[in-house]
Amino acid sequence: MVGPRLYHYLDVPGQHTLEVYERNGGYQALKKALSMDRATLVDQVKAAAIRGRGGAGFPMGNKWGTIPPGSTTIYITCNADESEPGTCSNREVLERDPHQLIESMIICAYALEHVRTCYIYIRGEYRLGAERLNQAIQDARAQGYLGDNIMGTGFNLDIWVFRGAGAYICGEETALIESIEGKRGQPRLRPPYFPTVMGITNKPTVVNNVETIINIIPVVLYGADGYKAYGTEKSPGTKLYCMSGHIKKPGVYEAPFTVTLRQLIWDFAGGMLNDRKFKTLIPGGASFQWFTEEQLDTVMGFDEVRAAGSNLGSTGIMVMDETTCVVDAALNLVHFFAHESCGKCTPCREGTRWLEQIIWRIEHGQGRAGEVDQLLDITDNMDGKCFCLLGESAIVPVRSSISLFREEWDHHVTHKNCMVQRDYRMSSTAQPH
Amino acid sequence: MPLSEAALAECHELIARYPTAKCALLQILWVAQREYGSINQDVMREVAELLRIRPVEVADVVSFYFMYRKQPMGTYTISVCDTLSCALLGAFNLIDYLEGKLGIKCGQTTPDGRISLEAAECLGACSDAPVLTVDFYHQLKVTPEKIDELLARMERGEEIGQEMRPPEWWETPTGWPTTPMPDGQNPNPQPNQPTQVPK
Repeated sequence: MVGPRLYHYLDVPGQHTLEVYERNGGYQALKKALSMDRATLVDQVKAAAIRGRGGAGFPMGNKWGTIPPGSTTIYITCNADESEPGTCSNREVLERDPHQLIESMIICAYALEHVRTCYIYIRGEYRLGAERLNQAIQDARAQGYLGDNIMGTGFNLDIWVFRGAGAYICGEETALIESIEGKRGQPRLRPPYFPTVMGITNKPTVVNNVETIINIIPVVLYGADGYKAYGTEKSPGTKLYCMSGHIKKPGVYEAPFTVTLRQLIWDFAGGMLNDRKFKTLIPGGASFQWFTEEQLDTVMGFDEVRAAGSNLGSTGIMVMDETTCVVDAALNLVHFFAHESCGKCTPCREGTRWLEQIIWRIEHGQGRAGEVDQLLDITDNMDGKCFCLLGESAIVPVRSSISLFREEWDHHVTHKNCMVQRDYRMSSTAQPH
Repeated sequence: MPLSEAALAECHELIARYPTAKCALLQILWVAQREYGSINQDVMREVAELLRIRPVEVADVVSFYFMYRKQPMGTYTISVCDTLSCALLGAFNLIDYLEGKLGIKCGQTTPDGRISLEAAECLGACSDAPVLTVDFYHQLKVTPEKIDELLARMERGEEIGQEMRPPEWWETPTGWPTTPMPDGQNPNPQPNQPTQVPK
């Protein structure tokens, strides 16, 4: 590995095989970790302050710290249920570099000591990812990196792939655990706030995102200080920024947390598609506030984006140009949330449907006077009343686009048409019911 | 028709991976779906017996996850992503094109039982939008021409695997960004190169 970078070998042909992975320095971190004292290893992880890449930005070391002392059975679960619209970095890792994840999980399990079994919860749609992971696990086991008495240290570990079956909500960690327990993927009541207290069959369970877990390799190889060479004091390391939408070279780009949106769009992604005018973007996947041109110089770190009024989330950056109708874009996202609502709580189950129905009418020239305000009223009634974050997320595209582009919404209602010259429609013509 | 010996052995191996038998439910359902093609009430009863849980617990799960098919699907299942990143780049035009070509609507199967078509929520390949999957193997940057080619391959009964992105699409940058930071700082700080490179 060249410096603390995660994506360096992604495009090497055959990187998903054990042979090529080992040739590129694979399993060196595991060998080093196994020779280290467990307490030192945990201290290094805590000192490195690896922040959770899944959305909340909660440091991995602190999460480990919430495991009740004296626990004798701990599960580690890797959250590979990447379903947030705009996010696609995990899929690349799972398909092209699965050993990186497996090596990282073995190191985590070794550090926490009382782990005998790890699960990788991969979303059902990632069929090749699941196949490659299974193959990688089999190869690692044959090589003695997994199973009983790993590399002669007397440490035993199994990793199993758990294939989900198509539910966005299972990315929520308590819903993910319900799903592993063989139930509907509906979130659990908090507290306890962390599954590290009560997880799979009420045993402590550490749930970490793929991207968070793989950060442990550079920490082990270069130490906490070497890892902190990139990024900022509070957000050390690099991030995989998923760029999509109206840009010339959409892709997943690795950069330190000090990168700005302008750099990501014009340096990495080659600028706006067809050199059209930038309109708006979503910085962290569908669930977070939209940015306009004014915020393009925002530094893409956890705290900086939060200070600018949004959230880094899973860094699914969706860029929209002047040909985008914001009403249609909001309808697309609200439809997503309405479809994925698990139905457990009423504000989310009913609220997302109402939002979708009203926005569909506005988009299709059937909006009535006052309906834009009615939408805002519904979002007020959902805000803070939903069981989990899905419902809270569904209102964001509505609120964000109305507050930033109110005149477009009003134009839709009064003139029954759109003020934007657009290339494509972005929602179904069938009326939702 | 009960599960084959081999499938049953696979199920028992799966059950052994989890602290309780019920934890293996979703994985057993994948095996059952592979064997039977879809999951009807008889299959649910059989799975329930295997795991020693009530059939209603199985039905509860099957009805929640859309990838467990309640009706038999076509030989090929085409799922077109219709969420924002793909929609921005014309996903709905692809859906219209496919519906016209196949003469069916999303959620239906062609009368000859060959192809099922569905609109899917975000398929996790946003950077290669617009995407669709054939039996959940991704096809990237899809165009009508690419659809014609895929349909022709299905006509010939070929197996369709995952399309892998060629490296040049993204051109993973060799350095860090070059545009100056807003406060005039050096955009490309040379980090303290880690000295302890593993041997």
